[in-house]
Amino acid sequence: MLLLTLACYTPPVALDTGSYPEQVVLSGDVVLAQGGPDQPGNGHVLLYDATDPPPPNGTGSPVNFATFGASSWTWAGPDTGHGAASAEWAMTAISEGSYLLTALIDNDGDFKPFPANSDVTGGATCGDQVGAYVASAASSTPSVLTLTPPERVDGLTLLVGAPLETERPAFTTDGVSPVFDPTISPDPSDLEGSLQTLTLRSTGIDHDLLQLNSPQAAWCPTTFTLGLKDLDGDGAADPYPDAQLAALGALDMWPLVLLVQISDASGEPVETPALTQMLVSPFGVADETPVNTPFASDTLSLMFLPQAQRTLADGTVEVLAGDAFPRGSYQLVVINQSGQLWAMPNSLAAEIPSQGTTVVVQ
Amino acid sequence: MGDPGDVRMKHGFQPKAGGLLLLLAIALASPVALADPKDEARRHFNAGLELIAAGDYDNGIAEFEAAYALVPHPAVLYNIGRAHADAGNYQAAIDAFEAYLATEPIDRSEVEGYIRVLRDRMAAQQPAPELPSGQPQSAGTVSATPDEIAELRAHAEALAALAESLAEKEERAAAQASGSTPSPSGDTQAGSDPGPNEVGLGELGLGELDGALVEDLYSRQVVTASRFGQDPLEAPAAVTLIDREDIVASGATTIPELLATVPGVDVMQLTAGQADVSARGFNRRLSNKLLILIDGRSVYLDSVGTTLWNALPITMDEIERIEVIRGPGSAIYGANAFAGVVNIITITPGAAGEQSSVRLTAGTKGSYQGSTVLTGRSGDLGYRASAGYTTLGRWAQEIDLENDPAWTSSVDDQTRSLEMMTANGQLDWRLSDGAFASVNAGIADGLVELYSLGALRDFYFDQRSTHVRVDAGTGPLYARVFMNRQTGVTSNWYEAVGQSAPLSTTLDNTSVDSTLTGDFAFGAREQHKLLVGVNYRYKTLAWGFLDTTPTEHHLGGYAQLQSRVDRFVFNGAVRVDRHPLLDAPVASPRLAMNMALGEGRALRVSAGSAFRTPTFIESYANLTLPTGVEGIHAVTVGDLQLEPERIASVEIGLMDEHSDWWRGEAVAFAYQVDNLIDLSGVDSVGFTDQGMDPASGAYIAGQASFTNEDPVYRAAGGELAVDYFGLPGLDLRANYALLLVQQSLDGQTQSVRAAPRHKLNGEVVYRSPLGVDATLGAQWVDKQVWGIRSFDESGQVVITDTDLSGRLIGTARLAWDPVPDLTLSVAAWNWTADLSGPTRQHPLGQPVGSRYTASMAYRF
Repeated sequence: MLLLTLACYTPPVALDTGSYPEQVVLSGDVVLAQGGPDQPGNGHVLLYDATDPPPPNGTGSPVNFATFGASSWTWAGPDTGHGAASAEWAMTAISEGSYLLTALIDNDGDFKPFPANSDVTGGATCGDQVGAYVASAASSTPSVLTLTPPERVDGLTLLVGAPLETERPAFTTDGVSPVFDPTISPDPSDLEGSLQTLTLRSTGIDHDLLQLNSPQAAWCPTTFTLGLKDLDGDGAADPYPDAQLAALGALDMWPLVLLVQISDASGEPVETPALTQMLVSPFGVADETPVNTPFASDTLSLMFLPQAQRTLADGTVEVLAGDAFPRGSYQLVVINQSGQLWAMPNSLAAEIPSQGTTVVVQ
Repeated sequence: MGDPGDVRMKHGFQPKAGGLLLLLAIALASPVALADPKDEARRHFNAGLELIAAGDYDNGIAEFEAAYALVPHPAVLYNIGRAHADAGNYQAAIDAFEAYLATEPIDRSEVEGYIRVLRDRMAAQQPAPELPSGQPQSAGTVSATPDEIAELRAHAEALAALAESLAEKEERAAAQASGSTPSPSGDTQAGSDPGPNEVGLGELGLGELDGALVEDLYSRQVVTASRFGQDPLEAPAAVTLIDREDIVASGATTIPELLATVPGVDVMQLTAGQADVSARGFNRRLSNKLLILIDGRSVYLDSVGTTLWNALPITMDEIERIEVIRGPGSAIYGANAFAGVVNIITITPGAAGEQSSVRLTAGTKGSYQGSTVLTGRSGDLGYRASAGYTTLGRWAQEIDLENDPAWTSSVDDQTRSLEMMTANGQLDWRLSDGAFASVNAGIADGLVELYSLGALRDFYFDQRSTHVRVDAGTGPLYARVFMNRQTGVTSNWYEAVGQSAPLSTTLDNTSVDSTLTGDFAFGAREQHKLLVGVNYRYKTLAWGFLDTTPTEHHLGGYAQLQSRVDRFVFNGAVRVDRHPLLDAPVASPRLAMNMALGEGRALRVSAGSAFRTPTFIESYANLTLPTGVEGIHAVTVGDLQLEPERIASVEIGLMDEHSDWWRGEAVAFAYQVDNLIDLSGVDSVGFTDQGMDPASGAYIAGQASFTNEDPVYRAAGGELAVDYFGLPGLDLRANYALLLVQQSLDGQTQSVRAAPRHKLNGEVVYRSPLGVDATLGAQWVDKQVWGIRSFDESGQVVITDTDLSGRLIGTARLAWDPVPDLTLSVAAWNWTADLSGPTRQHPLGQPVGSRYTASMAYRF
């Protein structure tokens, strides 16, 4: 009896978190608000570092993602396929930081997340549905979640739009090996002579890992979607982010085209890559073209701007222009407004040589 | 009229009362509450032998009585009776024999015969009865009546029978000198507790006490090294004996705490409920390199190959002794006796001198224990029953669930690392002609916290283990059958809210093991001893971590020949095991030679091999684990083609037990380990180009499989142990172990530090004449370096070398017997943690702090 009485008392136990770092857990649901197939595919909720945002506004890769199978969908209506479909999700092991949440519904089952080929398989293809967590329906951009462990945030709803109608913007350089000289600056008085340009052409992809329709396909063509950006939502086209060019009347346009440094001049991989945005030629975009209304094009004219930036380890951004522009090889990344992305060179280069072209800055 | 004693002898003698008086006299005349008196008792006993051999009966008997007071071995009563009989103290001899009979010895009828003879002698010493007047009589003679003649004839027949039985005893005692016969407590227990039947005797009242035979009464015997009783000096392996007195004196509340004091044995606590034990290296989470036996019954878990020490269905108070064999033991025990064998030997039901007991313990860190052991004998039936309850508080909680909403746990009580209830019972029957039968059954039911394999962390096992064991023997044959069953739920202790790969699942493991052994002695004075045996083991496991419900049938056969030639003892053994997943049978040989270097000294040279077969999880695992990314899982799979882990070992040992004051052992060894089984890295081929796994709703990064490692491990080391017991009431023990391990692959070698290189133990026990005992101990192990496995963001395995600093564990115990049979004690384990702070004994383990307990034990 004495023992039993004593055994009822247990002293407080010390806390030791060595094996279990504090974390944040997120959960909520994904809602298909705008239709889609009767049986939506597997769902993915992707978590991005807010300082390295995902397409279409950046090139960030997810730092974590949760999944749920196609069988997880439930419908608001009485039968399958009736009413808005939704599925629950949860994500663990999130550390302190600011994040963005996006959703991707892989209706055709070709999404593969692993680094070895995620550059060509890790994005949305035609027919997939994408969305994001937004704090209010009025907002059009993903909301930033600032998280501090230990924390649990429930009820996060990600609204997903209609199925995408175009393929990812796969392209080639038409056999050209682009070489740019950063010491040549655009001269307003001699734009034709001073501008360094590059033309990309949409292409289909036929590979074991991925099949993308040709640009001429009637359904789900591979294409660029051009359009005027209006990220601030004022109804007017945004100026190009460079003040000098903006002064010349340059507008910021979709798709977002970036050059991301792969290696330095000696061919060594770089730990902190330089990055520069290429100027999309407004060819074909009339002044009266409404903002955020992209149209398809199977070619894309670009202009090289000799100014790059590099984000250092401490978070500061280093601007590098002219002679300071880092020399070396660059990957060309095209991001449509839908968030669909294509990069070159990519992991198909071994079988499709045209996908191995690099941009050289020398 | 005779004296009052005559009257008592003739008309009112109370044998039990006389025995109790003798016991009381002995108890009052001797020191009390001596903690570890065996060596001292041995010294008294041997002194008594010498005195009696010299004809100094009074002092010799006093020494015997002192020995009995220290360790109440019933056979000492017998020898006291013998000595009194030789000295002509017939009444005292009768009292001693009566006291001996009160212990329900197996030779009751024979001792009763002795008593009759003694009484007759006492009667013969009485003055001749006055004859009735008028009766004719011859000068100097007395004519017997017909009744008296009949009584004398009966006495003569009794003496004849006695002489015959004594002759048989002499033969058996001679046999005992080289081995033993089976007993109901297991083949391994045979001969370990030499009873009076094994004591050689001359003809009562005529011969001398045979010192060469009785000197074994307090000698140390081990049974695990050869499956029969033998002197450690003749054992073919390094053996450490932890006897009851050691257990009591240590104040230990768990078996691993005791094992930590053994040279070369590494014990690491990851949680309060989990301790992993290995010998001579290769300790790990869920350690699987030792074979653990309880009275010869393997408690090795077929699922993961480990031993859940705190889920064994025995209480500390029913342990008679623990034998630790350091080094390979597969030549006798087959698979899994890889680095050593630990045999936990319980008290023989109803054994003479055993008392029932109850113990209550309460301590810090939420530690409470209650146990009782009941033992007794009714004629040829001995019984023992025990029940225990243990709860140990957790050393730490890794997550504050009340304030951390990100985690959940299915464990209701977050403060306890162990809560276990046990019950165990055994019945032993003495049958005719030395045959015996024994039935043992037990249960352990409760939850234990443990750290699991690979990238897994804190787990719990809410389990119920049950067993039934049946032993029977007659003549040289011995049979044992037992069934172990373990059911329950295994689960991770913590689970992140919404975690996509829950790990909770049920487990149901059943094994049936049967062994038939023949034990034959032959040659002059039976100096050759042949042991042969066959073994069959069935096992099956239903567990959610496996992709099937496997059933395996294992067969084994073994033979061991021990020969004594002059001052040499040769021991050769080989066992062949057939494992259903291995292409060929596995042979495990062992050769040993022990050379006597004079009285009490021996040199042992031995070589042998052992193997560990893949466990169920290593062969059949199919387990999906979460990684650092929610949507990416990794699969762990078993491999049906695994080769057994192999170890080949050579060692040389020098043992010195010649002194009554000290004892020492020095061992040097070297071994090589091949085919170590471990988890591979994650192989992504064939996985990363696949879509989502419909079963798990996640992407599979690849699979890690249990695999035989390529590197070869070579080790060398030594163990040095010295016990000093030369001062009355004081015992000093110290041992040191050195272990150097290297890993070799493709000509490249590097040292391995996952096992401590240096390990040092020391203990001082003082038994005061005031009934207060004190023990002070310390265990120190060197720093270690462990490779810790985790997943990176892409689901690949990352192994990080993690340093673990050395640790010092201080122990202490203070005990007091305020009245006979009642002991009050306080004990401290790892009290040094209060000075230096809690330390981890494994990089993933919880910081282990101190534990103080107060205990009350009552014997009845």
